[in-house]
Amino acid sequence: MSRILLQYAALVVVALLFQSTVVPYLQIGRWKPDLLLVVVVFISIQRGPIWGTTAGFVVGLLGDLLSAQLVGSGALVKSIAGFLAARLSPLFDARSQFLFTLLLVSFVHDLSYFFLNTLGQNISWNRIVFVFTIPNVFYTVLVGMLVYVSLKGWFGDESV
Amino acid sequence: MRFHFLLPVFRKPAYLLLVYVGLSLFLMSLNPPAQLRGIRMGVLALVEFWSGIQEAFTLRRVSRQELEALKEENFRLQLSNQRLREVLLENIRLHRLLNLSRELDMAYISARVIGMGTERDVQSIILNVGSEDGVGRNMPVVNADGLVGKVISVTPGQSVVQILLDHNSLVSARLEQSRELGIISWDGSPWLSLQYVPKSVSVQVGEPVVTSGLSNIYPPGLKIGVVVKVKEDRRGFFNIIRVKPAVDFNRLEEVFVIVGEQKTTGKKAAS
Repeated sequence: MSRILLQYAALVVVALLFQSTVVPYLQIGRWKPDLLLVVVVFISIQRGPIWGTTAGFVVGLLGDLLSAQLVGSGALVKSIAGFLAARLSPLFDARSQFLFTLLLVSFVHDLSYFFLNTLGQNISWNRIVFVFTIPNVFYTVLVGMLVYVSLKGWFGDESV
Repeated sequence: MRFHFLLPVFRKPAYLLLVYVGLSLFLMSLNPPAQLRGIRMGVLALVEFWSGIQEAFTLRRVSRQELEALKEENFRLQLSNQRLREVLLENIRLHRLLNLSRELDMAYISARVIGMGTERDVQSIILNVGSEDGVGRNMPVVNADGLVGKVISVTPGQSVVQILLDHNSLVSARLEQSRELGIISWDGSPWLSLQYVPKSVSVQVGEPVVTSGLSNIYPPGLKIGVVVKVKEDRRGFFNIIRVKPAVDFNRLEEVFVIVGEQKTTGKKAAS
């Protein structure tokens, strides 16, 4: 139990460091993948809703502390994402589980994230969906699948 | 899983989610929560440590000190150039009216960008200087090209800077030639947006935009960018003006935090 916890803690720390120092180099225009979300979805699928929601809250909060955004906004959307991932993943078969779960969760996550961050501004829903959200979702899924292959090797293929 | 028996709420994922949502909303209402300062310090220190390791593996032909000295010199010259340009325009404009001479001396410290924020858009950068170096909240951050943003959070060794490409960033700005005032903001497009410039004002493409000095945060004359597009809003009272940022936010390595300014004003004899 404590070994698993340590492994996940290490995974979260590495994801945070990469998101802050390596992912900016992967940025295309304004779009960049969200490794933190990939990690939350991964933990959710492997360990279920309690771990997933908690991982979402912790990862989101640490991400907030590393950025200029409102502290708590990342924790809010990521804990919902962790919960959703655990609830949605059983709907898909094992082969495509991670892909489709990440796709759906990433869409909901980004939509709520950009909605929260552009609240009170004159930005249309079309722009939020088609310019901010969808390209980011596909980029996250693309990078997420590559990350998933490595994580599966290290953490095994178990899921609850 | 022992802690599940201590708190029944941890057994029900839906209740747990509600607890986290409530906690998140509470933190958002506290912003910035002082209670989390220790965790922020730890996370930022970790990023700095990691950035140091990355740097150690990077081959550098010029020594770090030499490079920093050159960049600082370059910055000082650029800043002086910008200020001279501002002063020249100011002199032409005020020559017959006021006989005002004004100097602005800024104290600044150089800083290295050790990481970016974890947001989906580019919205913040992390610097390797903090309160121990004299950095405080709301201090402007610039580089040789112009205005980068302002410090929004500080720990003893690091600080987080909100850059201009942030949905919540607003800067009081001025068109350098027409002297018209406006507000610089960002709506997610590749350019910044200069708002509240009336349609009656003629704005030229290529006209520089600088800080107005009408805020307590940014000193006047810092270059923000140049006008790249002007469109008349048929339904509104104002022009739609797009501004290309002077700073390339994807290539930020070294910046300068303006830690103070000293203003001296004096009167010149009328000519």
